[in-house]
Amino acid sequence: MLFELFGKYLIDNKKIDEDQYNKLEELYLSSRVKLGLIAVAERMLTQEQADEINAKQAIIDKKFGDIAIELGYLTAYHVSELLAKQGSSYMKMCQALSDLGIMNPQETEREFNAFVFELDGIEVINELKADDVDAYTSLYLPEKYSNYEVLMQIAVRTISRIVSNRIYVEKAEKVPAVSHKAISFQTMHGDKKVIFGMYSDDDAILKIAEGYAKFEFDQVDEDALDAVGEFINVINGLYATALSYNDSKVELDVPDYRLEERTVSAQSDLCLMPVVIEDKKVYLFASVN
Amino acid sequence: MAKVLIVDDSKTSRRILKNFLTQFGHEVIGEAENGEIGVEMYKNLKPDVVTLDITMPVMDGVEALGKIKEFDKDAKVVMVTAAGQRDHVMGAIKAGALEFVTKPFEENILKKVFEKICV
Ligand SMILES: [Mg+2]
Repeated sequence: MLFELFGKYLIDNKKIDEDQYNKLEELYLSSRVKLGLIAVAERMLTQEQADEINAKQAIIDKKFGDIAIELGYLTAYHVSELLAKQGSSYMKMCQALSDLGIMNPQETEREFNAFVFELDGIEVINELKADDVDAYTSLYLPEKYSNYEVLMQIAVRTISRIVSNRIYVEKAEKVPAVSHKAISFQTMHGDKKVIFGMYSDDDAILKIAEGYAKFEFDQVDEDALDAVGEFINVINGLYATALSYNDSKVELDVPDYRLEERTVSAQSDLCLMPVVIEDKKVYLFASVN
Repeated sequence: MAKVLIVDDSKTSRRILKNFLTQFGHEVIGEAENGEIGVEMYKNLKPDVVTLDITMPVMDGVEALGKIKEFDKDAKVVMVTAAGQRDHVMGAIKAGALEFVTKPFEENILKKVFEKICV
């Protein structure tokens, strides 16, 4: 999520072009973040200190962290903190931007802060840096603290866990109803009335079907929508569990899908959120009353 | 090796389950798309194990479990649920289901459940 959304922000603000974005993606997916870069990005070392350690490392066969401790620049505790950040998406982004000579970690930090500010996400900047899917999902919803927030978070998180981790969300909106071909959805009843479903314009929905079934579908047909219905059932099952922790009980109805165009509406507006899964766009919709 | 009856309204889920069970060396002797048909098939086929999806039209898995247990109190039943239908699962275990598995199916978990149930 972080890579795609921050990457798009950098394109929109003309900090990088499409070509650089693609190179960045390649590096981002393959690169291992160097400890020195994290230390500089975290302001634990100056660039000069990091360069000095790198120079020493080129001569003696020792780890970066050990040399930094010997020189008295870092403590063992600091080094372990840095190591924990090595897998971080933000750091991988810093590393990739630096490797391509586009910007140094300080500049990346400035840009990332501006990106977060634009998202109105300063309060959750650490979660955003940690590539927390829930935090991104919330910020792309049309209103704060909505009653469909938890459901949307579970949906996006489940897609990233089961279907693909190369996903990002786009700004969601509130709509009175959705009308489309090949909509799959499920209602829940009990302490709350819930609707959750999804559709896509092209065959993007097959990403969901294949993510659930783990085999391929040739086209958007009844069988594919059946698989989408089962995936929706998984999301709603998790949501029902989340509700049960707050003593709310809901029962899942049988998932409903149809190839023909149909309109789905609820007691109140539906939240409609686009999710891009490996360049294919799927629309999620939800209403909780 | 067991003779298994799969009861699930989703064709995709039946296919996934059948693939796994066949892979493990079991034989799927029947498939039903709702609880009502499932109960009838159970009576006719007398499988070693029956898997019951919970969310199904016409007759859900919990009701079908009751009917199957009425007919055969020693029936070996595995409940299949979407993650999180805790209350139903607990109820089903009390009503005599031996095991439960959650969707999406995970090969290792499914394998263990069937190994346990088939001894
Ligand atoms: Mg079902």
